[in-house]
Amino acid sequence: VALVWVLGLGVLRATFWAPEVCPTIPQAEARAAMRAGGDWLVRTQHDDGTYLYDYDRGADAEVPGYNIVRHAGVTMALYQLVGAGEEQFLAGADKGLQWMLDRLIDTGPGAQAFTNAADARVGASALMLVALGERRLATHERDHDVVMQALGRFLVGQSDGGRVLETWDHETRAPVPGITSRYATGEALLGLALLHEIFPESHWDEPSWPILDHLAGPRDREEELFPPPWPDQWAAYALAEMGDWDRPLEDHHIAYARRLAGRFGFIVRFDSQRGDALGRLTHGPDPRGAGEGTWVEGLASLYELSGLDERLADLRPVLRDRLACSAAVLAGRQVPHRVGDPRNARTEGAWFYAGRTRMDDQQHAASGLLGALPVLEEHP
Amino acid sequence: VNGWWPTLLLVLAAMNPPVVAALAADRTQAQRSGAALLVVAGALLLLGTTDSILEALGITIGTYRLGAGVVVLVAAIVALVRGAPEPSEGGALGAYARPGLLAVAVALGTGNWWRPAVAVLLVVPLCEVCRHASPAGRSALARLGGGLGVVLAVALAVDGVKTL
Repeated sequence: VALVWVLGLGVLRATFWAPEVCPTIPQAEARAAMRAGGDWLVRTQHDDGTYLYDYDRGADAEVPGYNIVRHAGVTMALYQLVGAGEEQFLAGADKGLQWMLDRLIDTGPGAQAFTNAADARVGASALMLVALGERRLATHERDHDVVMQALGRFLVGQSDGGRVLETWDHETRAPVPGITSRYATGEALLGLALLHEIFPESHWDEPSWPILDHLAGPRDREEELFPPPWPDQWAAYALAEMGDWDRPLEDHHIAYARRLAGRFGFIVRFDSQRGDALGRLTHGPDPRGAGEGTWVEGLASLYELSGLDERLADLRPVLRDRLACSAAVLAGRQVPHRVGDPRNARTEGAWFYAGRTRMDDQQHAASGLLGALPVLEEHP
Repeated sequence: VNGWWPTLLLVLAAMNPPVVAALAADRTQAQRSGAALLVVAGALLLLGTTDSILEALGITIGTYRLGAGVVVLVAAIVALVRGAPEPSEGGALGAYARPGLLAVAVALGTGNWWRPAVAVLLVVPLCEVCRHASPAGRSALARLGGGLGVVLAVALAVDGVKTL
């Protein structure tokens, strides 16, 4: 009997009850890691404004391929860093922005989408809009206000009662019915929420609420995302944007935020159990920086929301702990940054997974670390 | 798992009194009483030291509850399949110290700890009541407890997953 107890406890300790290893990181180090991620993005950027998409360390070579949604996301992250005082990234972000501006198409009266194909997908335009919003907030320049609102009109045109249709068909000049994306709905909501923040007189909040209702309601079931809720950091960003609007979030939005917090919390707790050799064995390899970064982004946004809405105040201390832990774990997996060593230009400051790094690894990690900075200031 | 009824039912399923009654069937009254007292004391001690135990393990309550749910689930499936077991060898403590109960005691020991404490005090004496059932009756009750345990173990594990 004793042997069974010992074996049982041993198995539990190695699996479900493996220790959650949470290093600490000073705020300055987290900022340096964030900056190093941004440095990688602009250091490896091509002359035409595109970014180094996918790099194989073993072969010391770029892996062919490109994704315009990720291009928009990387540009967004760079503008976020600019907004946080890292103005050295503005030129690179503007190069990335110009590449997008050169690929706008008209989709209807006053509406434009960003695409490099005949059809257009919501995600690319939504994240381009978010990038422009972050640029507007960081620089206060009004150069792209017209484009922002044109992108907003495109997103509104893709919304079908809150359900965001992913694709616009150039032949029918209309959304393709029935096709959605787990990413695009939250991305569109964030774009529209930022538009409302920048142009409150234009009432971009009106098309935003049905999308949030859809995310907080039937989205996971309709799109068969199991287990719910889908850990949607874009929705978390949007909730944080909408948390201080004149019209308060409704109780079911708050309940959704709580479910999201639990989801992100579970994921980062599980991830922190990879902190020792046995934990790595039983919990699998480290995730890629893009995945881990989105969890930190989600937690950071929900932490911000918990400071805006009293109904989430009880979560704030735990969110702070999870965020501080996950940010430290994330920073610890970055290739160390040694300024001025050109031999390692494509590795330093990056997050590698299976010997490769993709631009959104740096994007999400840098954005996540940026979001975690306030917590690291407060954390003992 | 924080209300009165879920707590009571979870402790009941984790202990599964007909299983304990069957395991301790050929122990003396004194042995059974002593074991019951020790288990109640142990469970109350665990309830009162949950935070210290979690800190020593280096895990949070959600992570703990997920593992505790698995412990209860395994015991419940065994009870569901096997019914009431044959009397065990060794002391009565081995029969009374159900892994699920001890796991659940730590899992419920945060916040309203008095609820699981009352539940333990109510459930452990039921082992003695189940002694009076026939072997077939004990087996049926054990399976019933196993079925309940499967449901509640899943609920406990899901609660652990959903916890921030």
